[in-house]
Amino acid sequence: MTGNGACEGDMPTFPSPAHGEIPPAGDPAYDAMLAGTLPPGEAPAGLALVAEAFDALRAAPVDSGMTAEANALAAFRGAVSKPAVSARPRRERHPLLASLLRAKLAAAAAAAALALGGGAVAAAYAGKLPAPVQKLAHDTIGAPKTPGAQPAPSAAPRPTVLQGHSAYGLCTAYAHLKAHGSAAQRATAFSRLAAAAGGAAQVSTYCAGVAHPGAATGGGTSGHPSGKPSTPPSPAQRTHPSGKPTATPSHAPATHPAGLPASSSS
Amino acid sequence: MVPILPAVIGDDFPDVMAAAQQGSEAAFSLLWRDGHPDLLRYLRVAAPDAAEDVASETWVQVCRGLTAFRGDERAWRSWLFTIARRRAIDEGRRRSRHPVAPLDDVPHAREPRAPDAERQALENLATAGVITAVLALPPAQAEVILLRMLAGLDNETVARVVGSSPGAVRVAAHRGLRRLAQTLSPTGVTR
Repeated sequence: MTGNGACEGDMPTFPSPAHGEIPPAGDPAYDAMLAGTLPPGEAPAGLALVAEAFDALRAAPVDSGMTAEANALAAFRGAVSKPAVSARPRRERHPLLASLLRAKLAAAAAAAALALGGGAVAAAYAGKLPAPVQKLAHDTIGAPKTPGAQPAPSAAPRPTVLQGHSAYGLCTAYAHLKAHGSAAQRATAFSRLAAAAGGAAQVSTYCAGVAHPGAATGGGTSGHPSGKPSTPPSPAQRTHPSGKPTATPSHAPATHPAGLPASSSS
Repeated sequence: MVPILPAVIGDDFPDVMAAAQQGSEAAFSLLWRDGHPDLLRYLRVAAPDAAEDVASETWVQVCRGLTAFRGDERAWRSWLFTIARRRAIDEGRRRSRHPVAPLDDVPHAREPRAPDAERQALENLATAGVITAVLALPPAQAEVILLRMLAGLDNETVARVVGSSPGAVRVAAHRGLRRLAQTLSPTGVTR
């Protein structure tokens, strides 16, 4: 018996049990519901209420506020600052390998610096770059840390939108390392880029809108920075906390708030 | 239907995870913002009245183990919810030992409690109804339903999280959903 109260003739495939009739366990409708592939109209009548209820549960707003994220970040900082506790011996890297990695990262930094343009290095040492770039410079070439890296509320968490050379440099460096760099290099470049773009989700949009400064072609982000790292990439090397070459132990106040995706994502 | 997996990091996940493991707060923030909503939706039902606390403890534990984590995004969510589930179970045990309500013997650790602010925020009647109904299910059925429907994990991942076989997880989920449908049915079929 079909067509009782539901749609007229075009109710598809399901035998459409009488109102309230519930399919037995094993019915494919359950699998579809669990996988989230059951379109609203197609739930058997007996399951419609359950489907709606879970839709409502999923749609319920989740707002933990900034406190929850701040707490999580505090825990993260605490855990990162004392990694020795869980360090496992077998993952310790040979010193030679570590210094090689450092060299590679320096090369990558050089590539990024070149892409940033002529005065960028000088500007980095003068501490005059936008915060995310300054942090990149700090981490890679040892320039001074971001000025005003205090969690002061006055540092308005405006999303930093870089233009021109800086943005192009970040995007290009990441595009290059994504193809040729090691995992550690990619990770570093990506996190800087994400910070500048205001979140990982924004990265592609961000870079799509960045044109080569002073190039009429507007050449894509896949372009090659001129300063190619001289060391050959070795994708086999996975990232490693102790291989962290930037050697900037995160003291508590080094929060670098302006670089965070300041609630602009999601 | 609201998509079950609304937020995933996707192709960039390996880079995001690696950056977080190197100490990038921006990258960790991304992981948090991606995982926290689902975590909270799950815990609102799995650990009613303590969802925020349990979520917070979960992230602390994640931070401690983050550098040792290896795996793809699926493994990451599996790990995240494995921790959350254990924390929720601990919380349930703790509450049953020290009940907040003036009841001496709580018959069931997952007994629904008086609504708190968290749950009052969910004013939808259907929502409140299904929470009560899920909490009345046998725990093994309730948890696989929550992990699949709210945490957005697939069948195999849920099996890993709860330490069971995919077949058993599927059966438990079907039975639980069927029972829920009976409970919520307007004709008042109860069981």
